[in-house]
Amino acid sequence: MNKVCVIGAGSTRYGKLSEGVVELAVNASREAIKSAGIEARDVQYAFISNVFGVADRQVHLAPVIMSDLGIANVPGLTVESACGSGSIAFREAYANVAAGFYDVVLVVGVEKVTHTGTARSTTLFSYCSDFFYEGGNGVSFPGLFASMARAYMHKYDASEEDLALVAVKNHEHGLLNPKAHIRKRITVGDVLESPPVASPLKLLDCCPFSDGASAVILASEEYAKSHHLEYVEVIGSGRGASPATLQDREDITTIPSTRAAAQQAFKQAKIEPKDVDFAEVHDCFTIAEIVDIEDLGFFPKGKGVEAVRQGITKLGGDLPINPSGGLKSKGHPIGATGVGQVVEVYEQLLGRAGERQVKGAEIALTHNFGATGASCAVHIFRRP
Amino acid sequence: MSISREEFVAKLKEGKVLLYRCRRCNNLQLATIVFCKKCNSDELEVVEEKGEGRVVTFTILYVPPEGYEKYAPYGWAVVRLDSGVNISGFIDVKSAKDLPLNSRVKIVDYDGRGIVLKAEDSK
Repeated sequence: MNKVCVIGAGSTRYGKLSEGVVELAVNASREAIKSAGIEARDVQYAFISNVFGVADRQVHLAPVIMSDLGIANVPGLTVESACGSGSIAFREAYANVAAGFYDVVLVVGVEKVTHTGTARSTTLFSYCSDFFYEGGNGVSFPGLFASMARAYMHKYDASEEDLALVAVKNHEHGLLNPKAHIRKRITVGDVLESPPVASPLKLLDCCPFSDGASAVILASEEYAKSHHLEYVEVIGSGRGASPATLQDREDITTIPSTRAAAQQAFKQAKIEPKDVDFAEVHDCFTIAEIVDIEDLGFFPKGKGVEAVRQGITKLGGDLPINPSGGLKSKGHPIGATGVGQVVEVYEQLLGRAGERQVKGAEIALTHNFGATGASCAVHIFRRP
Repeated sequence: MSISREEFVAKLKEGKVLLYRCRRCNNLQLATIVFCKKCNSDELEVVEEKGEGRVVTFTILYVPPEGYEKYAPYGWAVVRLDSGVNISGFIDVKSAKDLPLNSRVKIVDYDGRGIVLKAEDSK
């Protein structure tokens, strides 16, 4: 297998944006190509991560985006794996470069949904569940994670105030990110008093619906070295899968796909969770971040809450989680999210993260999943 | 024999759940899963179960997807049937206090809301 690295990264702001799905993807891709110091024509293949292009009246995205980038001859395809599409597209690009099919691959994740409104977006997202048992019985994604939260709080020592601490922390981080969707300091009281969405989760336990695009360029290490490019190494890549429904999970307080993907990635990277300097994890809801940091092996089951209470996961703590602001504050344009995590890691490991820089960071992990963790990918990166 | 989704739904409307029992390893699972998920055998026999069990976890939805506006707030619950097999569905409760964990519920219908559950003591 060839060694693979990230040679460039770019991202639009996340939020309610006026641009369409194609323009967003093109803007992020152009920024990534320029940051890599290559020409657009050097891209040999592209993976597009997107779920609801149809909501902006555009599918078959690869040829349309490549045409607008002026490289209509470059083939590509769309990867869809719900909210995990971005990391899974990244994984497919990684596999293609590692296998030697291509030397330079563009991954661009994009989503455009806010124009559809809350009710339509809630409905569209529910199509990512096993619709017969979940979406088709009236449950939304906030409702599914609320059901996980209730099971977690019943099994372990955790309260709604504990969940709120995750939101408060990620909003503090997001304040330092100029591209974040919601840049606003909040308190535990604000979270607890925000309107109920799906009990026990409230509005401020939930990430927003966002538009946005993020792009990265992967290359073989040989290509990066021979072209004297700056890069970040990909040292571990893992995939996992879980039953599509919560009802088929033996334990609703853990996500099997996260555990499987993390084990593979750590094994390949030949490192332990304690070696990671910071992580970008899938905090679509406050409960998710707590479950994630346990399943990734950073903290024992049931102890993630204690780590949050102690401030270990804040910027400046021993293991900063979501220095970008995470899905919660930075935003969650679902096709872009997993790619955006890699953009953050690229900037952090090259020391370009500005006010939210994790000092001295050398090893970072990204974790992104689809739906309630039915599909998942974990990647580990190192500054060379 | 293989159960179609249409047959599965027809039984839900009668408050019943079709399961597969594996002839090789005795595992019970919903009849919407076509190989035994424990041993992958396809030697499965159909078992009919009364759709009754206990609440494993649930939520009360205040921000509904399209089509559910007129029911909000309402519940959605994961239920462990008395056979030990899990299923989930819509339940018309307005508050978390009305649906304690482990309380008994039963399937009463399948309609535009999906699989419809009811607390066992309610009419």
